[in-house]
Amino acid sequence: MYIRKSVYSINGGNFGDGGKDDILYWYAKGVGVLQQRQLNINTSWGFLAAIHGFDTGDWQEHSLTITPMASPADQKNYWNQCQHATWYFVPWHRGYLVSLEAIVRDAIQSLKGPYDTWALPYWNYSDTTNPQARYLPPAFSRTTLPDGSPNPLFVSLRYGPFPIPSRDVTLECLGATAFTGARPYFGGNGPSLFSHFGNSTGWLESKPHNIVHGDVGGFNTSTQVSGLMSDPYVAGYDPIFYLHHANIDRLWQVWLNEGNVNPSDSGWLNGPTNQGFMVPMPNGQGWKFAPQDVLSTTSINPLGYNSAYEYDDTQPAPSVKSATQVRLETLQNAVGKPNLSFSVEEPMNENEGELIGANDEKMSVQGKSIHTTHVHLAKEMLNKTNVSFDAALGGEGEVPEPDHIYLNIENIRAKKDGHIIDVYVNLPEEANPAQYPELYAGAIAFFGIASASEPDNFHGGSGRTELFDITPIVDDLHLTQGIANLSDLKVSLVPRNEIGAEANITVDRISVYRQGK
Amino acid sequence: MFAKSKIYFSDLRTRPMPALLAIALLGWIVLLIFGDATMHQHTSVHHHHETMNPAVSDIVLQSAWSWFLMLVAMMTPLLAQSIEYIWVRSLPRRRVRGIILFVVAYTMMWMLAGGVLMSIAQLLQAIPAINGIGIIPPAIALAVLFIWQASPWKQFSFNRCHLVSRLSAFGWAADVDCLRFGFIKGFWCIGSCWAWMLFPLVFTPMVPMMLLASLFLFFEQYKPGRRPQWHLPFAVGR
Repeated sequence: MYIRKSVYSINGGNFGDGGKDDILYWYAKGVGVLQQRQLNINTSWGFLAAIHGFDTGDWQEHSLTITPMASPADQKNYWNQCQHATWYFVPWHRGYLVSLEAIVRDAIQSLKGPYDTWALPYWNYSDTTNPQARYLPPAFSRTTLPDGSPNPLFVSLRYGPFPIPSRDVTLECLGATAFTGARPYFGGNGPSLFSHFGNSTGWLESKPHNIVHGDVGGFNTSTQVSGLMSDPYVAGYDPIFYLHHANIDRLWQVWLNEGNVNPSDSGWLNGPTNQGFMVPMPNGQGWKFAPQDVLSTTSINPLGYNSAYEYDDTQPAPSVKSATQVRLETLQNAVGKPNLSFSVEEPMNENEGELIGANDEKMSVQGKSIHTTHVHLAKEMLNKTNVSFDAALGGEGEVPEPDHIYLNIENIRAKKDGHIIDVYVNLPEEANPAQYPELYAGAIAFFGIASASEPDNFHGGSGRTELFDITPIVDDLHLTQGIANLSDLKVSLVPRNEIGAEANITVDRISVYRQGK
Repeated sequence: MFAKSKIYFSDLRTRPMPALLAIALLGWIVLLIFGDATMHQHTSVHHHHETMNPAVSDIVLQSAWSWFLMLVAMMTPLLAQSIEYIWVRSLPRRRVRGIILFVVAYTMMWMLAGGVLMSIAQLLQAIPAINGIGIIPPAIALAVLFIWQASPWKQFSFNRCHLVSRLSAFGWAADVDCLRFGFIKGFWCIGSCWAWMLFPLVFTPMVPMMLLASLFLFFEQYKPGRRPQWHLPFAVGR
């Protein structure tokens, strides 16, 4: 059994003495071997990156080598497999990591390194007990190894802000109680309410996954080129990618350890109808897998390669309260009824959403200024929501939970990935958004939105749809001023960087949904 | 393969598919009882125009009715995603109205296309039979189907047929947007499927060919987009 350890647990995320426990040194050496192989070899660094994503234009723009090109059959069978904005997101990436890890391990063996113990480390940027956690592990920003040779883990195309902002790595996703469904859900949408049009993501994928990609890769506003990590077509070329994904993979296990369960739907267990998953193993043979083959990390055994692993830490974080618990406590305090509780007969995430209102015009986002729009609300729908509040807060003991309220940012499209836009609700005029964390709805990280905006490829052209839970913001409105007479909600889009016209960012519609009885 | 087919079955049970399948089935039944005969009367005029001489307006009306039945039977199950989209993205009080407007606009587009396709079918059927066997019209229609199916234009239309357009929430704007969505969807749907509709029009017996076309189109709708270029006409996968 291999143990995947926290990158910061050994040598503080830096290279050590090159001994058998020096995980990052051996990762670097192994990656170095893969980088020497040519693109048309299916165990090369470039080939593995292309399994996640390949686009000639994007690779050239980022100065990645596109020769000698892989055979058409290899491209068809292996490349561009990454599963984003679907409920296959976590299982596909698990198989992908198993392949990468086995191939690096094989390279370490060829170098007479500690292949029998080496496992991919993970980067836990959400660890609030480690003040360094949100910084890029130092081994990745050094240009040379301790012996003076070039560092294979170094890439210059990382423009992100370090440390990563703390709100980008909070783990609300672990508070989700369903893998899929209406919302909130952890693992991505299956055949569900918001899934069909303008792909939307599970909470884990949205945050921390997408946003950490955007934070690490960033965007070079002078060249208008994104960092490697912020574009799914080139992200797999950055060695930090696999530590980020090991952490995402670990969070799946943490979530399960909280008592949550994976889908039992055959549509999930067997993988998508239109494409099988296949990744190479060290001997070059392809391992075909489906989600059901990677459900347990301790029994993964692709093509006879022992790949079973565990993480050194998959304890549920004690500080993560479910959104429902936080809400209950807020409402208990507000109305002075500590014995109030929500009935649990019917989990909220099974209920269908209903539109409450929407803005009037398609928006386009450019520059760095705050873009504001008004979401007009339908009176009869607000009344429904209002009734649910009154019924809950006016009751005693066990009451039905009042409506959940969501902000739906629909069909976001872009020509370029790499930007991040923060979203606020009812931000006062001329306000500095940073001073209103209580009005923060979430962030849109443009990771994969460019390809989802192009009709003539696998991902379709409807863009991405981001759904933010704004229940706490609306609860506060309800408690302070009432919502029955509300005519609209003001929504502000706040770009983190200057957005050039060529990014061509548009949002079809911004709407508000209720989820309740 | 069996496991994969379960996914399609689960989709058959997902709203609004059961309702759409019921409507399509009704279309098939009406077509089987009344439609097939009348359709061939009007697309195969050279067989009958000497003995029967109905008014031109009657022919147009009956052709339109047959074509409409054909649409109901074949196209209804292809509208599930669009109808679900309108349902989810509309205020509850506007859902039904939005769907009706969408369907009206979509049907109008296809009725116009029907006029053109039925005229082409008539022209094809005017080609004299060799040794009494009318093999040329279906052969031409089949060749057209293969070529179109393989072409980048088909793929271009197919990719766009799956896009959704913005729906306003309130007032006239919401109605106009549902109509517009129907027109756009209809336009690209015609681009994607017209050759499949032409083929049964010149083939006897017609209904089995329609059924074949419907089944193909039903499964084809689940395919993801890909680059518009010449493809093998019926290749599946990416």
